[in-house]
Amino acid sequence: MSPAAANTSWPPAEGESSKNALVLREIHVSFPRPDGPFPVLRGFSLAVALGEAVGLVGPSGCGKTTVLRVAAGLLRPERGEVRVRGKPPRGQVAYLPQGDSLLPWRTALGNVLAALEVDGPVSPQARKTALELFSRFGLSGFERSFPRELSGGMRQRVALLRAFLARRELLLLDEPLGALDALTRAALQDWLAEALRFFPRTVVLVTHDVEEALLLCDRVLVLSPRPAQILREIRPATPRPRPRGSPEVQTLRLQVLSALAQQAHGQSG
Amino acid sequence: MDKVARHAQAALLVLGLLALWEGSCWLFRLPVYVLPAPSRIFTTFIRDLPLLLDHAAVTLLEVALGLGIGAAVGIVVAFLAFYIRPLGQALTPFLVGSQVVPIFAVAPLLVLWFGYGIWPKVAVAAMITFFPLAINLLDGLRSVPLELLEFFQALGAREGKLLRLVRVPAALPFLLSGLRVGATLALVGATIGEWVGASRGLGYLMIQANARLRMDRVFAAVLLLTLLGVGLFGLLGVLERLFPRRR
Repeated sequence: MSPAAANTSWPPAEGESSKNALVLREIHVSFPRPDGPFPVLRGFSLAVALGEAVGLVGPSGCGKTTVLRVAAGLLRPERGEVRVRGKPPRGQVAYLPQGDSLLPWRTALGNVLAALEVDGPVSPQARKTALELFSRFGLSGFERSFPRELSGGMRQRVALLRAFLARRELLLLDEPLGALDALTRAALQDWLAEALRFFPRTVVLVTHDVEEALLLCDRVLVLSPRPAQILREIRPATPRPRPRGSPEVQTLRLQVLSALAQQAHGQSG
Repeated sequence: MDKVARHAQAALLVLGLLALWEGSCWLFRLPVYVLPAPSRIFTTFIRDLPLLLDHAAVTLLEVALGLGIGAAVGIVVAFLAFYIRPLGQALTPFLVGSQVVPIFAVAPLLVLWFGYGIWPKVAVAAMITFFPLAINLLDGLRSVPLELLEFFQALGAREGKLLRLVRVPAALPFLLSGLRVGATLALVGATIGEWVGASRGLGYLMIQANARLRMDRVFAAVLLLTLLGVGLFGLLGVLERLFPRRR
């Protein structure tokens, strides 16, 4: 990471709230349990600049999904502030939940158009655009297929395309490729990089796959076990998307893994 | 091939049982007022068909009205119970408990309240339809997976949109299977209502024939009721296949 590259590197530094697409400030969330409230987030803060792609990696159950649900306005924190482009989040966020979120009774095209129907009737023009994007993003011929007729990789392409077409600046992705086998996953990572070039968005990507975060994101945050805190922040020097085998990605991957391992060790010790 | 074989097997079993029945009636010389032979029931069915259909029309009208009213009330109650949480909590044990109430025991009261026309039968059919339908629909509304809803909620979809895009299509198969169960029960309900007090309908015809020891006619009426029930079940089954539970 040469200093020159670091200086010109994007995104801009945090702090300028006007340039932030998402700000989470001192978020507190706990879930009720029979033996008392169970803390999931204790003063979690995060700022994501407009156009930035941030990856969240961390041990399972550390509260990554909770961070996304708070940012999407689906979960109201007990304390703390959530701002999406300076306003409350509800209605401004395309959030792709973990797992199968496509409507099983609608075709692939019907599912994508459902995202547009939230904002009003779908014009023939919008429908035509959606159809064009199906062929552009490797889905031609599957427009009339139902989700159960599609492979896991195809289903996630449809789900992601739906999230992109929803026309929201902030895109929150919860393990979008988590259920896929390694080969499909690698193919979809390239697909997602291409889609992000086509639809510029501010992205928060939750993933278990450290390499995936390093390939696709401007900044990777390593989270501690619950209640989640940001342990390390890694900013690759080269712009995204990065080639899979690049030395930078491999070096950083080891750094992230060792940070995660240290934390796990510290917790068990 | 396998399916054909299984159908053939079932048909053979039915034919065998009918033959046994026919043979026993002939062998033991059973009188018609004890047990009529299948051949006798069949000839009576054909001969009395105009009369049977005449009464069946009344029964079917009661079933249709009862099903419509029961379904309408069931849908309204299910949505109210879904959206007004305390009401739902208060209503659920009542809904479940009321399924145990023997409608048969209530039928004479309904005749007392609604008179001898079709309305007490409609009321019995409606009450019988209402419960499985309301419970099924409520179950369907409550079991919509969260990940289907959250994408639209984050986009800012209001409840009306969520209802149209997610909740209603997700609950529709539950509603239809409730309706399917309800339809066959409504047929039983209307017949029971006619037993208690009526001047028309298949139930009335059965009571009349029974009193005159015309068991062949009783069986013919049962046969027609069975056919109607199977037809109704099949009709709603077709509807159900159009909107399957795709999960």
